[in-house]
Amino acid sequence: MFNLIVAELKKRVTAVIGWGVGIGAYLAMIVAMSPDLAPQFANLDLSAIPIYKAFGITENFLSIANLVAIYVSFLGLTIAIYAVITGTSALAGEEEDGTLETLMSLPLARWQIVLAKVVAIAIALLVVLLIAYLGYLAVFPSVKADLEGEITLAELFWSTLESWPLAMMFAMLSLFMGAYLPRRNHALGVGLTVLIGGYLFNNLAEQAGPLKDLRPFFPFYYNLGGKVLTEGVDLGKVGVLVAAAAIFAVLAFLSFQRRDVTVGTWPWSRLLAKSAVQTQE
Amino acid sequence: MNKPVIETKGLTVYYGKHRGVFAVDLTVRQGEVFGFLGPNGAGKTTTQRVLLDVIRPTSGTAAIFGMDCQHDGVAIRQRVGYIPGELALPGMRASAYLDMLVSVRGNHTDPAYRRSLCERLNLDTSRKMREYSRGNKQKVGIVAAFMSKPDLLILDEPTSGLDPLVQQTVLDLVREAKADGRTVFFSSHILSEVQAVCDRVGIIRDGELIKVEKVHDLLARRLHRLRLQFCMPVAPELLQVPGITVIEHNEDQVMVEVQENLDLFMTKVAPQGIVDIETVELSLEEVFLAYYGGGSDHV
Repeated sequence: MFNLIVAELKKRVTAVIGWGVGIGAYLAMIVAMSPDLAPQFANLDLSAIPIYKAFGITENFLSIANLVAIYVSFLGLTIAIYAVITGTSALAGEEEDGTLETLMSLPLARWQIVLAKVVAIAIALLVVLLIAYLGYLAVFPSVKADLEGEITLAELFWSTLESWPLAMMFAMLSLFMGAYLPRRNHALGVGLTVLIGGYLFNNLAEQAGPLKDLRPFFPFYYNLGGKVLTEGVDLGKVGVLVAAAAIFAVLAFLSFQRRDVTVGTWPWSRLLAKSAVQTQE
Repeated sequence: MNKPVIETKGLTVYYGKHRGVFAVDLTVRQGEVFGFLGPNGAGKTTTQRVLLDVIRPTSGTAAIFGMDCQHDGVAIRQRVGYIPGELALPGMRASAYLDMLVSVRGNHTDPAYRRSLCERLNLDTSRKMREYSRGNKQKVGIVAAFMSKPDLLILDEPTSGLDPLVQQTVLDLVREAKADGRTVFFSSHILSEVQAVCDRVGIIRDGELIKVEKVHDLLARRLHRLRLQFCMPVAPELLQVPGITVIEHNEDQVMVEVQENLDLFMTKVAPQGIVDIETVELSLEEVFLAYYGGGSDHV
C-alpha cells in the first residue's frame, strides 16, 4: 500500500512542482508589489467597478495587509483548479489512458486503489501549497520593513495552508465525478462548472441582497482566503469543507466499487443491461 | 480430469443495450494452455476483464481457482499474471514499476528469474517507460505478468508489437509455464501462435462461445481440399455431390473442399481420367475462417 502511494505521488511530481512554483511566483509578486500598490489604490472606490465586484474585491485597500489579503484570496481559486484536474485524472483519466486496468489486475481491492489516490492527492495539494509558500519566503525579507507590524510569515503560512481544505473538497468532488460519470471530460466539466460558477456566484451574491442567503450552498463561502490575515481562522468553516471532502471521498469509494472500469457508460446503463438480458432470454 | 482453473456459467455482459458476451459456459483446466480465438469485438477482452473483476457480469458467474471473481478478486489476482490487449503503462522507470508490482504482490518474486526474463527479452529497465517503443512496453508487460510465476496467466494478444524473435521467446515462456503445470489463458487472433502452443481452443463470435475443442482434434477434423488434374475437361454437373464444394474449376483442373461423400465423388469423376491428386492441408486459420464463414450451425 505504501509503495502504491509512493507510485501515485511520483506520477504527480512534475505537476506539483509546476503548480507550486507558478502559484509561489504569484504570491511573491503580490507581497513584493504591495507596499508600492497600496497607496495607489487607497482612493479608489472598488465597489463601483464591476470586474472587482465579480472577484469579490469591494473594500478599498486601506492597508497593506488588506491588499495582500484580497489578492491572496485568488490562491484558493488557483489551487482548486489543480485540484479538479488531478481529481479527475486519478480515476477517470487513468481509466481512459488504460493504466487503471493494469493497476486493477494486481491483488488490490478497489478501496485500496481509491485510498492510495486520496492520500496521494492530499499530500500533493499540501506540497503545492508549501512550495507556493516559498514564494513568500523569497521576497519577504526585502519588503519586511514595509510590512512589519502588519503581516508576519506565520500569518502568511496559515493563509496559504487555509486553501488546502477547499482544494481537497474540489479534488474529492472531481474524484467522485470521475468514478460516477462515464468520461473524464464529463467529470472535468462538472468540477470546473462548480468551481468557476461557485466562485463567481459567491462573490456576486455577497453584494446582492436576495442571493446572499444562498451563499452557504457554495464552497467558496467557506474559504476565507486572505481574510485569515485580517480576521483569523474560522474553524467552523474549515470543518464544513473537510466534511464535504470526506463525504465526496466516500461517494468516490462507493461509486468505484460498482463501476465497470474501461466501459465508460452512464450509471443507469446497468439497469438497461438487465432489461436487455431479460428480453434476450 | 484436472480440476477447472477458470469456470464461467451463463456469463453475460451487456453494455447498456449492447451485448458484450452472452451465456458463455467455459472451463479451463489446470495445466493447459487454452486458446481463446475470435476477431476484434467478439468478446475476448470482455471475458478476460470479467475474470479480473475489471467489469462485472450482467448475469451468470465467473470463478477462478473455485473462487468468485467478484467477491474473491484480491485472492485470485494474487495468483494471476495478466497482459492486457491494450497495454498502458505509467511514465516511471520500468525497474521502479516492476519493483512496485513486486511489493504489491508481497515480494513473492525471484529476482534472478526477473533478471533472466529481462535478459531473454532484451529489455533495459533503467529507462522511463514513456520513452519506450510499443515493443519495449509490451516486454515490460510480459515481465510483469510472468515474473511472479503465477498459477494462471491471462494473456491478451501477448506478442502484439513484438519482433518475430521476441514473439518466439514469449511462446517459449508459455510452453515453460505449461511445463511447470501452470495454466495459460491465451487470447489471440494470430492462429499460428495458438496452433503452436495451445492444447484446446475456444472460438467466440458475436459474444457467444461457438466452439471449444482440442487443437489436435480441430485440425484432424478440419476440412480437406483436393486439387485434381484430369486428362480431359470435366463437366460441372459431375462435380455436384453433397458434401463437396467446388473451390476452383478450370476445364481439366478442379479444386474441391471435402466435408463428406469423398468416395461417391471419386466414383463419379474417376472415369474422366485423373492424372494427379494433391491434398491441400488447411491451417488452423483456414479452419477458423470456415467457422466464421457461416452461422453457428456451420460448426
